[in-house]
Amino acid sequence: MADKRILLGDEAVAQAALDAGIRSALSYPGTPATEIFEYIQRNAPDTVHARWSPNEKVAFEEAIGVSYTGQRAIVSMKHVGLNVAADPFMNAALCEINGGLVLAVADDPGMHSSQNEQDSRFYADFAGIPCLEPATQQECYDMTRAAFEISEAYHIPVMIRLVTRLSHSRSQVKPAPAQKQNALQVKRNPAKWILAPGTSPALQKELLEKNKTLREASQTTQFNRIDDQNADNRIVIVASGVGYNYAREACRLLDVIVPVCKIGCYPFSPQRITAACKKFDTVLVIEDGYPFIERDMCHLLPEGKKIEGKLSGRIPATGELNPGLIARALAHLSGKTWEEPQPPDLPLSLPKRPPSFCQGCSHRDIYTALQEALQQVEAPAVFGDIGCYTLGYLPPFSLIETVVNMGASISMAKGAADAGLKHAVAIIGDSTFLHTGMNSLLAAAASNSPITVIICNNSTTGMTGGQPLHADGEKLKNLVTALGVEPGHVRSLTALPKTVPEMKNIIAEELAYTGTSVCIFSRECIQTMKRKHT
Amino acid sequence: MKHDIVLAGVGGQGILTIAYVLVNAADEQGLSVKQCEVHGMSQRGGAVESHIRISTEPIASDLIPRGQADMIISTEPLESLRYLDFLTPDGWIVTSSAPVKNITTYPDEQELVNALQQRPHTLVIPAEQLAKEAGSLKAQNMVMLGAAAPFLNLQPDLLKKHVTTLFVRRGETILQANLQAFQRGYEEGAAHVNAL
Repeated sequence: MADKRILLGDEAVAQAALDAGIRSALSYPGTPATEIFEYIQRNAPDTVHARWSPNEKVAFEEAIGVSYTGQRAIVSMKHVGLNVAADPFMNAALCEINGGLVLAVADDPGMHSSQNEQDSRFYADFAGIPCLEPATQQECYDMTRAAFEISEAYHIPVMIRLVTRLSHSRSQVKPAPAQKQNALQVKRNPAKWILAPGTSPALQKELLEKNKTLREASQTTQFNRIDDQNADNRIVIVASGVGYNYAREACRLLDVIVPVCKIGCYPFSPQRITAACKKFDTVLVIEDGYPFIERDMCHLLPEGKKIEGKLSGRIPATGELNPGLIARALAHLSGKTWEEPQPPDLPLSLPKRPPSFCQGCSHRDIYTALQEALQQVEAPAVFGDIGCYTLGYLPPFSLIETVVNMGASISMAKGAADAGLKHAVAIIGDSTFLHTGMNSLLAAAASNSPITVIICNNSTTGMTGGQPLHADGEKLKNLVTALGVEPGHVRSLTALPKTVPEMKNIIAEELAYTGTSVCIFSRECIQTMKRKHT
Repeated sequence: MKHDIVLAGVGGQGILTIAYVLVNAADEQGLSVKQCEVHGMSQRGGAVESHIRISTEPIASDLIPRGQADMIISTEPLESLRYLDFLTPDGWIVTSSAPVKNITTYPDEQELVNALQQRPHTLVIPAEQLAKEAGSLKAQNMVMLGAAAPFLNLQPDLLKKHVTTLFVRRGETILQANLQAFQRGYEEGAAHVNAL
């Protein structure tokens, strides 16, 4: 058996996937999930296929393909990545999963590095697939191992739901003995794999049956349990994930013993949870994310039972949880006092230190050129996208006006331009363009919509630490042309401080053109370049 | 025994390297550890923090509760003041004196010193100077690790062992500079602890 080691939550999931004998790991980078794939890529034997995919939908479909061959796959992504992969995700739930298929998805309550804080447990529920939610790094490992077993036993994809605070926290993990990979063995069974009007109704019925069985199985799962069940208290805590850790910490801070019903496996058994809460007046529900369990509790528990949590307002409905917030809620309910320490008065005010473009970053030069070019046109609008260049909304540039989702800059500019907006500009990174910007450009070029697209080509996915691109240099330029943009309006230049005037002229010329144009401004990310030379 | 430590600094200063050494040394001493950190865009020259929890008992929360940290280790003086609500009233601030002025609103340095001196337990280390003397300006993080070490129940030899693990692949010059930086910081910290 391998020795105990110190792993991030993400890395514990990855180590478990390796020990579970995966054949493939698929992913597109996204904070806080990136390290799952990176750990696998670093540590995998040659028998494991691990390559970044251009987006989460592609990654998920690749994983379904691996499962079809009877072999195991893990696909990992951040929560909003699952929106991109939602189509294969929802439909894979109906297929007769062969090799274990595990989706590790990392949510970002508090939005440390994301545009929203959607809770992936709703997705698991929506698709009708099981979801395991670890609280500790050890559980990240144990639950990922279990997820592959569940997936193969019930022929269904299984979700592991992480949150930032677990993904990016380290602790000791003891791995279990590793398994061998499954052999390649396709079970040809079109009736279970073709989702079409003739076949889907039967599969949808089967999915409902599977859900019933899963609910029953969760009566006995080790991942749902009750601590201190016989404690003398009016209150019971129902907690999941890191919410459980904060519940334990709050009990320690307040020096109280409260029974804690820990939920780690969904769907959970309604009988088990109602039985657990039966003898208590008040149920405090603690979950990092949306009130997923709490909403169910409101339906499950008899009237008169006090249910406290995010819906009742006892715990803030948005933002990341922390032990102090839980201590405050628990103190209130149990008649104790808990004062969160306030920051001391300082004789000076502390200025914020927001992230900024690295010194020498090519994005600075591109934004400088864009800023100068835009001064010469009336009422331009700049649609932004997701990457380091999102920082272009902050001073000193304050140029981009929108950031909605991956690839949206081009399609939003097209929509606005087609609706009459003059001088619509889209600014997008190379990796984001290849992720979901290409389809938008195809549409823009097809209707020759009057937009100017700037691709910041730094040859990497920079914000997540420098992952490789699927097309760069000439290949990227050819791709843009192949999507239908007039070759004369595909302009490219190296982005340097000294080429700012020339970039500015190019942008100005393309702003004057009433059709789709693309400016590819290129220079390698300063971070990836530094790494090559140290 | 427990040490709850908030690590603070500016993206790129290497606070996660400090965390790595502390966590691995504590683990080797048979202690429980949890250490959480922020990845992503905040690393781009912005304020960064990491919570380190070391204990003889099992640790529940990955985050330190406010008001419970025993120490703030900071590689930058302004950043050392950002997380005071986490510190116990008698907790220690061990900070570098070297400012990183990548913002236009950076406060007057004397005002910073005054604010730090208002705290009962503050140790300000000339990390830039000591790192330079040790042979690498980049090793300021190791100076700060060394300066904090005498306050902690962690064996200096184990800390040095993990500094070595980190830098051994970078060549003898870089390794020695980092070990020397740790040593110089350690001497400053130890002199202060002994004088208490």
